[in-house]
Amino acid sequence: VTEHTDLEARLRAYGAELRDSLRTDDLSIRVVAAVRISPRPRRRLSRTVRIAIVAAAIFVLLASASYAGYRVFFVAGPVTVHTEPSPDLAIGTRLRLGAPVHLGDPRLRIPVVTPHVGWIDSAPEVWFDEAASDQVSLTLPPERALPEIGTSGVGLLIQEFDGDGREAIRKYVTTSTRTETVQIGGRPGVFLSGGEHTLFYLDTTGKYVVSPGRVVGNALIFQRGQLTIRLEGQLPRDRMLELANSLR
Amino acid sequence: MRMTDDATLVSRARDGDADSFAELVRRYQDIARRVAAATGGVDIAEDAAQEGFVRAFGALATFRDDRAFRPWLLSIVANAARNHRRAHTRWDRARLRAVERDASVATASPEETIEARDTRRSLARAIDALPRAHREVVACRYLMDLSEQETAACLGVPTGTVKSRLARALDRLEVILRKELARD
Repeated sequence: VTEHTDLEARLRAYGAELRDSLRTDDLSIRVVAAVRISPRPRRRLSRTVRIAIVAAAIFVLLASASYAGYRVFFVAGPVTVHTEPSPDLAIGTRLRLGAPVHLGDPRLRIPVVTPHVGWIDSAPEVWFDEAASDQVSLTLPPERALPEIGTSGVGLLIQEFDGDGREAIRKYVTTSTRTETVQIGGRPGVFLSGGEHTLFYLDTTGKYVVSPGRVVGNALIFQRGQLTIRLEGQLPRDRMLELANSLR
Repeated sequence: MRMTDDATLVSRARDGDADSFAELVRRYQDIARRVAAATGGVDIAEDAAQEGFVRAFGALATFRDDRAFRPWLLSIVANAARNHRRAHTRWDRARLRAVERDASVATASPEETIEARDTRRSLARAIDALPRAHREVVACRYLMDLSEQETAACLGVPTGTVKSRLARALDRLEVILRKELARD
């Protein structure tokens, strides 16, 4: 066995300096802020139970479809079914945005703004959560100019919060994120790229509200009047700025 | 007051009790920061440790009750730190920035400052030149002062492997430093 006494001593001295540079404050505050919003971890069902549930669901689906088809054919005769596009409820549930509403819904307490740029064809779907009534979320589906963010089924997510996010623009909790200060209408904002982030803002009662990013894409956070606005999308900075400036 | 054991806190956290998880974070935050620094670099240790805890919370459902929480957590933090480093900055750059900062604050005379900085820089460069497996074991054991058991948990290898890998890493590090000295 080779002796490395001197080398070991130098490594230990170097390590002591590096360890001194690590923070020692309470990390739990930031961790808990992030996990309080996350869905509660659930125990995974056993493989047998999962297979049984899937089989039962398929059986019920097939049975009801057969019965519906039988009834339509023998009772109503040949029919034409018209369907209208409806909001994808799965998006609202998956991203914890609440229930679909229309822009004139009286429960919306804040002046909602929407993007107006020539390169987006779709109209936004609007989401509202009774438990977080100081905010509203808008989603746009993926399209040519709005690449899907991961596998979220969303091309752009806009969240508008009734509160002061200026502090968040100066200082924010981020993980895996690069940040860049930008100007929107002469006021500062922050562009975050490359990973997850958490926004916090002061609500109208003066309490901090913590809101993690709902999708892992790029994000632009800025203050506009009484609103703190966050755009999340798989778009470069300039496109995000164009969207932000078009909100009205 | 008797300290609640990890298993109880994990069970409560799994039922959505964030305060229990906060207790686990406080219990292991220092070691998590050192593991993150060893595998990802000092500059990203804070973010990576935080990310590791958040990931661990999300993965509590998959945690088996017959396992110990601490090594399970440390392996998650180590992976989070490696991913963080890949996504952001190279390990050596982060390390060197830390070296510059450390060397700039602590010493007495300008000559000592320069000498200390040069020594640390050559050591940091030599560590950076090691293969990842060797670099991590050196960083865990010497730089972050982790025990053999903690290093094993962090690297996901048996303690016997930690010993043998460390011996080979030190041999290699000596060779690199000698070459560097000869070049200078």
